[in-house]
Amino acid sequence: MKRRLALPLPLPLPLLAALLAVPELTAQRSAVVYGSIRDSGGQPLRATVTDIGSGLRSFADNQGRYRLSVAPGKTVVRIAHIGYASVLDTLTLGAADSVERNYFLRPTAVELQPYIVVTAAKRSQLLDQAVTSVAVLEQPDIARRAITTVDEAVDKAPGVQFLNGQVNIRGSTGYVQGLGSRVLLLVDGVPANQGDRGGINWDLVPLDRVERVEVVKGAGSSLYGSAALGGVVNLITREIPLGFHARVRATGSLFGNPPHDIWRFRDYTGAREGIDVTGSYGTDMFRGSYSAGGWHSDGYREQDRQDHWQTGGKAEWRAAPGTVVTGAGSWASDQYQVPLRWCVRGRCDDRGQAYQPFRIDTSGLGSHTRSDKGYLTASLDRAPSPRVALHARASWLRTHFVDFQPGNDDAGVANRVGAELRGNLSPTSGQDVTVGAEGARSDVTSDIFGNHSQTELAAYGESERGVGPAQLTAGARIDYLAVDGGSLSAVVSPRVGGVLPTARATWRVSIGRGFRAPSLAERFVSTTVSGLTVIPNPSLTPETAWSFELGNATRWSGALRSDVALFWTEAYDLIEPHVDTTLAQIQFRNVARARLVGLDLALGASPLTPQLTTSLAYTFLYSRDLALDSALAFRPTHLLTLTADYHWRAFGVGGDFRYSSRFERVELYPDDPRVDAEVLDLRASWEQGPLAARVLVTNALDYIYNLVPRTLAPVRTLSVTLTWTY
Amino acid sequence: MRARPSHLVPLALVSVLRCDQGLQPMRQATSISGTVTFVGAEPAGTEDVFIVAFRSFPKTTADLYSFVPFPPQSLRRPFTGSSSYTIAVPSGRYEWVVAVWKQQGSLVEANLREAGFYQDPANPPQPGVVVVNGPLKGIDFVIDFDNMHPVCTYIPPCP
Repeated sequence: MKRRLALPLPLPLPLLAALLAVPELTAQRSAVVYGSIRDSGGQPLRATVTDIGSGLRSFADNQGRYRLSVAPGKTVVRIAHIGYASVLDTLTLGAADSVERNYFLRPTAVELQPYIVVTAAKRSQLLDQAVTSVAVLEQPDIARRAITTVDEAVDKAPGVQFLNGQVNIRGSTGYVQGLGSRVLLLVDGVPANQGDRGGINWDLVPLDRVERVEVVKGAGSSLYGSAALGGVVNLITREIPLGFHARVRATGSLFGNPPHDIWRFRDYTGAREGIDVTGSYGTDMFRGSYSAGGWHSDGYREQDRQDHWQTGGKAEWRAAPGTVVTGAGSWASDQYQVPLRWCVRGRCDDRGQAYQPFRIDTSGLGSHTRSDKGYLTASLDRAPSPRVALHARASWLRTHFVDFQPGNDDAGVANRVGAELRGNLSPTSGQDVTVGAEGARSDVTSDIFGNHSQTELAAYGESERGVGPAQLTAGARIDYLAVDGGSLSAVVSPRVGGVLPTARATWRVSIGRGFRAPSLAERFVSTTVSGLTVIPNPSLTPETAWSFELGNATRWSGALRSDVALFWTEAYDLIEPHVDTTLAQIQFRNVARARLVGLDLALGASPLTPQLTTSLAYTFLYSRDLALDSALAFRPTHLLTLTADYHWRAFGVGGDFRYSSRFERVELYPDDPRVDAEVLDLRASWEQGPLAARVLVTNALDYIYNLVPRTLAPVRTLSVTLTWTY
Repeated sequence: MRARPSHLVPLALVSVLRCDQGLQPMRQATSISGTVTFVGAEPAGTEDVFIVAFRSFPKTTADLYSFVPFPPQSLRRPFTGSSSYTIAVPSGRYEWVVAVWKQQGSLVEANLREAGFYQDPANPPQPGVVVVNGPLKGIDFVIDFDNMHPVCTYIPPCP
């Protein structure tokens, strides 16, 4: 029997009323800080200027000029640029004041981590006040690496590994062919996992629109609900600066040919070429930006061509000091060939080889996919007083795919509509409270998933207050889930944590519960894979996990800092594909009971000169499937990333080295040869005024490996990126 | 002189870079290959035809799913004339190399037929035993769509 929804949700009506109150446009007028930012040699810096109180930011242009609107009164601004010591400046401004402040930043290696994050607690906070580990990639980091897609950016974060597009944070997800990500993707705080499969479209947002990526590790469901079982990735898009600005970025790449002639599969060198154009215009009251672009790739293996088109925009109306209305959207379309599996003996022109990693199994010839996806979001942020910040948003995410496979085409359309009301309050000095309510409805229409819907309604709250030198945090979220209008099930996700600063270190500890509701695809998929019938399982229940973390961030000297974290996750009712060889069926079931224990270590150092920065990130992971008494599939025991960069005037050189140990267990083709992953990326850059040129060689050693069964990882690729910024 | 910890980073980089060379070309693995010749018209409702090998002749329905390679690999269409095939199998002795016809639907016994198998050249139509130590060629046989047998022919009773 179907039940009507009658939820005892504590909807924060006072929040709603406060949000809807008409801003007193005439009562408050903003003040403006403007000026220039240069290094000690007088060279302009494209630094960020952040109002610590509101979190609003401005970015200096290529001549180092900036302009930031702030609320009247006492304001603390932070001026920061990677590779330079940041500056904090306290200003007292009257309404309509306009004050010039010029800043000079000193080169240093200590500012290896950004200062403010917004994802760990759903509010702006200092990085070292977060109770869980947060890895941050700033725009200069992203630009320096000359990468072209968002997943390439996230893949460089410590403790993060991508398996054919599926993100793992501390081994959270493994590899389930894109279904059911245990990591939640946010775009400016808006959930963006697919409504049907629960996976992530990493090409949803053009990389050029991304200002910063925050990766929160460990269970985040106490604030974010479903899918935040292993962590949260938040893509924060660029602020729109005042005045007219434009940016054109062109990229050309060449893919390395197979290192052995017997693996050659074509008589030309594959290439990739793309262009992005962005324009923006901003006044004190209205700001807007628009970007468009696309790229074509021949791919680095057989049947790997891709075409990608994208467009996106953002508009802001700063209705009054402390009141911002934002609308944003993005749309991307991909048409790509699908290199399903590489060819093994007898499945293609194998030339006497046991396998041909650059060729595909002939049964997959002709497979291709069209994938369209887009989102629209509108939000209202209002700070009626220095102690209250309110946020309301609505969002719509739509995905549409058609898989063309010989004799077996599949298609699906999915929507995810969501809304959220949130208040960030500071009732007393030293206390911060976050409360909110969130709802979402996902639906799918597909030949393999059927026609189904899922509703999620939630309320959450978290409080942080100082107790002596420590900051303690406690909160919880309750989610109500209903599938196809059926009965509700509730999931409670609490979290407690604390931060204790000492003379030169900060200790953090947290324990929280995460969960992931089964995706509609996992519940209702009905198809055939390799002769095996995949049957639905509507009775799937949410998978849950308890995550514990103890961390320490220490600044050993001006040239060396460390961050180390011990983590322990106990996972229950994990949803995994179960293969029944007797009935030749695959069904998603709540079968696994798993444990993931490990160590995250990050070191940042400037060993010889401030112009040279190096870092080391290492993750040790012990993962066990307790039901099978074996290692969890697709989890590396060791994951190491080494980075070094050197800057001299307008030039820079650098590199990353990533090592991932051989998977102890895989779930498909376990007898295939598999190796460690050892990938070296090298880069060089030149930046002068509005022009920047970057050269990137990924997988410079041309190390041939695979992480996913019979799926070749990218080979050596030479890329040149030219950027013009106005 | 004590090394500063930050100086260890390039040392670690160098030591790791000395590791292996990744995947390398590998001569063909153990396999069974040959030519199958189709007799008769492809039946209506055909979804798939594949060739699998059993280490021992199946005696129970559970044994039916102990074949290699798993999952089975489809033969190339069209199912007419003759066609070469290769299946990758671990080395060892195989008592039954068989072509399985599958009609549309689930991979369950009711939808499967034995459509032909490799016969002992010295004692046809008994199944031929093959021993695989490398690439084993010449395992040729006929797939006869007009003379297929349900599972119960081998594992009674038939309904």
